[in-house]
Amino acid sequence: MKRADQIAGGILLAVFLTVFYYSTKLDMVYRNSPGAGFFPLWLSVCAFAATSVIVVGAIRRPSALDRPVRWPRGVGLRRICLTLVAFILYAYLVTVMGFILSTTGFMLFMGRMLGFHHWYQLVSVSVLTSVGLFFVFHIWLQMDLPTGRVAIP
Amino acid sequence: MEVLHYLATGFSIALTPTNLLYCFIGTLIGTLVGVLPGIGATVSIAILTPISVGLGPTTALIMLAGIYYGAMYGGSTTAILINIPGEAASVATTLDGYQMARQGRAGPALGMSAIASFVAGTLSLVLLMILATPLASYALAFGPPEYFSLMALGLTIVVSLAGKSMAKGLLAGLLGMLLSTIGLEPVTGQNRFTFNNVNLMAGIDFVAVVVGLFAIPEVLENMEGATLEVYETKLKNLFPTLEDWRRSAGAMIRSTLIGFFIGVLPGSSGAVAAFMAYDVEKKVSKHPEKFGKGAIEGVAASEGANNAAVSGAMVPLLSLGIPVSAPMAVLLGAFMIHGLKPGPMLFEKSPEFVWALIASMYVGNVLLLILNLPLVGLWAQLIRVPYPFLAPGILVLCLIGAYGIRNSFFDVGIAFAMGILGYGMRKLEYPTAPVVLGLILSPMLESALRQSLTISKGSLAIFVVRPISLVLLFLTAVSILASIYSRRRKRRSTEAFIESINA
Amino acid sequence: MTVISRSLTIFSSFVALLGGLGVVSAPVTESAEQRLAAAYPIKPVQIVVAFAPAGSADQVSRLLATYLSKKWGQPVSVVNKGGGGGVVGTSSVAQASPDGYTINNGQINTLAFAPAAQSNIPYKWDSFTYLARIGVTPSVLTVNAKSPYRTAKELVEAIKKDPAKFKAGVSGLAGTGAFGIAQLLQSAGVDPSKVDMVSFDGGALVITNLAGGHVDFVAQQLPEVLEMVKAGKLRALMHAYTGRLKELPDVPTSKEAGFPAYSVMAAGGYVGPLNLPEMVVTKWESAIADALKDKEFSTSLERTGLIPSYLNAKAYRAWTEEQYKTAVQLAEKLGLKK
Repeated sequence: MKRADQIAGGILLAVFLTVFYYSTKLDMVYRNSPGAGFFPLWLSVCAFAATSVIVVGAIRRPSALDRPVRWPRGVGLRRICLTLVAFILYAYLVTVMGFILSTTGFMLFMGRMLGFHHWYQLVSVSVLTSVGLFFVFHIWLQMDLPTGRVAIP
Repeated sequence: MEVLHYLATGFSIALTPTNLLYCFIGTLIGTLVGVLPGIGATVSIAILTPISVGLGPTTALIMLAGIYYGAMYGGSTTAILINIPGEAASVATTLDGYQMARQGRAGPALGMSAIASFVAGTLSLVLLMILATPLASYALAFGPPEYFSLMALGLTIVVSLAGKSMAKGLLAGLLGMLLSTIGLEPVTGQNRFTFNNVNLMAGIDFVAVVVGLFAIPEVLENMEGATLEVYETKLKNLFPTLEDWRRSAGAMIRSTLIGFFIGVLPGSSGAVAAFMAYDVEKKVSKHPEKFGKGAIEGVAASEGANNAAVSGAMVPLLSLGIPVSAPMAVLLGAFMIHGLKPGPMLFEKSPEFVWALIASMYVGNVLLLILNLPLVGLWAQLIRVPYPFLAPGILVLCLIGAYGIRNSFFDVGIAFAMGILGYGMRKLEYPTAPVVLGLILSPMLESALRQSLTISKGSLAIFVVRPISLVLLFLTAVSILASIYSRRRKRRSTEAFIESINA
Repeated sequence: MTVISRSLTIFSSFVALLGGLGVVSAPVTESAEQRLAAAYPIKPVQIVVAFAPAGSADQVSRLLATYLSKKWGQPVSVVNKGGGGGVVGTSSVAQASPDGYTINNGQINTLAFAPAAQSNIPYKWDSFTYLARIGVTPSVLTVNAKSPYRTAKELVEAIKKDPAKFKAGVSGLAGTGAFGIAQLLQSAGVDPSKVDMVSFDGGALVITNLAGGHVDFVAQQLPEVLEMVKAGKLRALMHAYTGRLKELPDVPTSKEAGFPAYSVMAAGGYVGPLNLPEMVVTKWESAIADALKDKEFSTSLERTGLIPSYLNAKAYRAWTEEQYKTAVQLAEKLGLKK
């Protein structure tokens, strides 16, 4: 984890420096009390310090004591990437096709991807869940679910 | 004892068939609302208020109040089962509850959560009855400096949630605090880190962060393994064991007290109470290292506190007409629409109403226990759904919850971004709970700081000159030292253990 | 097992078929004008409340929505789009399409005061079509019951002598409270920026802090202070309404107390995006006027703390413009202009 900590730490240091910079552009003092910039400024200073501790600690850590990061590999990595892409697509499709159709499609895809191969059950559960969720949230609780450009819910 | 006489009258009103029915309806709706992430008690009370105009004022308010504490019961269900807290107040429940579910102990977790909620809810009502009037002045004595010190005390919990690396834990907390500064600054209305995006001006919503940071990384991580075995499939008994009871008994009492007294303060929330109770429980425990890995007393503490906070929140509402939080404000509005004006006069002018309400809260707590306990078995079955369905189901709920905040996909985007961040944090062993804690507490900390300094004209002395504030700051110091001490002790005992093996 | 899965398949195909029918029979989109030419409203109307569910804006709108749904036979619903002190929701309506189906519950805070004090607001007071004003809540100058000041004059004199000693509680530095206090002090010859304004998150906290003695005086809205004043915890010195108040008959008006300039009131009304068709405006105007005449509605309305005070579209617009101009002036005085 040494390298990961250092890289992540480096990115964070840059982020906090930016926050610091933007904070200075805000008012520090407003009449007698701290202004808008005071709090984020000090927060970013503390965050910068904490990150430095982590980075330095990572540099100084002997490799023997270091635990490796368990990044996803192979099947797991594929699943995660597919899930993330599918989720983005799903969110987009909801605005086009409406909630029920998109949710059904999403669940179909995910179920299949995660290894469920019994088609009948897959389809029926996906459809039932989507319709069910629609009823609970939209009809019962009167929440606004995103609707599609085509006039189905 | 006049109080008992009033209470008896109250019960006679609360137990009429109509009132019982609406109490039941209210608590049922509340439970459902609490279970589902994103939609909260506030919104549902607001939506149902006009509909309740047709009922009499007592009945209507019994129903609406039922929704409120029903939500506290419900919020723990998804928190325990799928790591998505249904309410802010249930975040602390996820820390141990979800771990218990993974170990096949979802039943005891859900059961203990219902029982602790009941015990705390009932006990805190007793406190409400006895202490309502004197507590009103206690609530008023809390000015900005006292709030600052209280929030500072709350933030020390980050140290205890930090896990292996203190620096990483602190960083997570600071990150949450920084996230809360994004948006229109409340005092002067300046834009902070909004890049002139209208959506960012509203700030980063808590629900989006929680949904993204807790649920999504969990789902992603569970997909990594070759086989999808997330939950221990053999459900080990559905009810808490004797051992569980023994450990949780003290937790229930302590969390009732903590939850009640924090709930009384305007501006505080069930979440603050729950975290504090959790932390106190961890500090008094003989096995603090078990917390975060499925310690049932953590669940009991968190759930007990958030229910006790509800009764606490009723104190300023009924005796001063001051709502401590958004759901309370909606309740207040409902009171007014029905012609009742909460305030110091309410106890005098309409005692039957107040006592009927309090009596119905007792009834409601009993109803909720009866409602929830049998359902434990049913809910526990939920996690036996094959993960290929459960995973997308959770993600769909995330979408709905995030979208429902403001009917906008922007929040869904935030949740997604938080999800990726949360996943990275997990991989690099950064704890995620402190982010949420920072996000909740920081706004109040900042406002209190600025208000205090305005009052004192820039002098920092104000925090130590005022007695309550001084006590709280002292407790803050104690809390930090206690956490550091227990970490040292753990490290030393681990080192001693390693040495003894090597010897 | 197969029996079950077969029946499940049949069921799901049935559902899919229904869905398909829904798609096919969806109406072809007409143009906004064509829809309006028919009659208004012919589809659900949304009232956007730019605050979280809780405040009087929300309660009033929900009451109105229930009333309008009955009157017009179309569902009228309330949608909350909180954030940025009301700016987020209000600007979303400013950018909505002017077909009359998205209306905003306009609060004077967000419509006039915010644009006057802040330069980054994505709309101006005249970015809307004004429909009607429904009611007002006057601001009330209040002190703690234990305070030595019994009249507004006494308080102002004391402030004049030593302004730095006083702390005023406000809910936001650009809200009606801050503006009201600035109006008062300015007209009495005191520089408002010499008094410390402690800003709290919402009226309820302001009142709590006054009752707890953490600030010296406030100028919050009537519904917020009413109960505490009645219970004797707070003392109302004067209020900004034109006539004596039904709820607090012993409190002098600002004119009677000698400070006629203290006239800030919070007001709620309804506005839509620019260029709303004439017919929509008239419909709303008359609907709100009718609502105020309806006994059940106006009683519930008054219970929320709002004083019904109708202004038709033109008058509402003119009044808002006036408030805006005053606000600009005061914002300069308070040093709030950013």
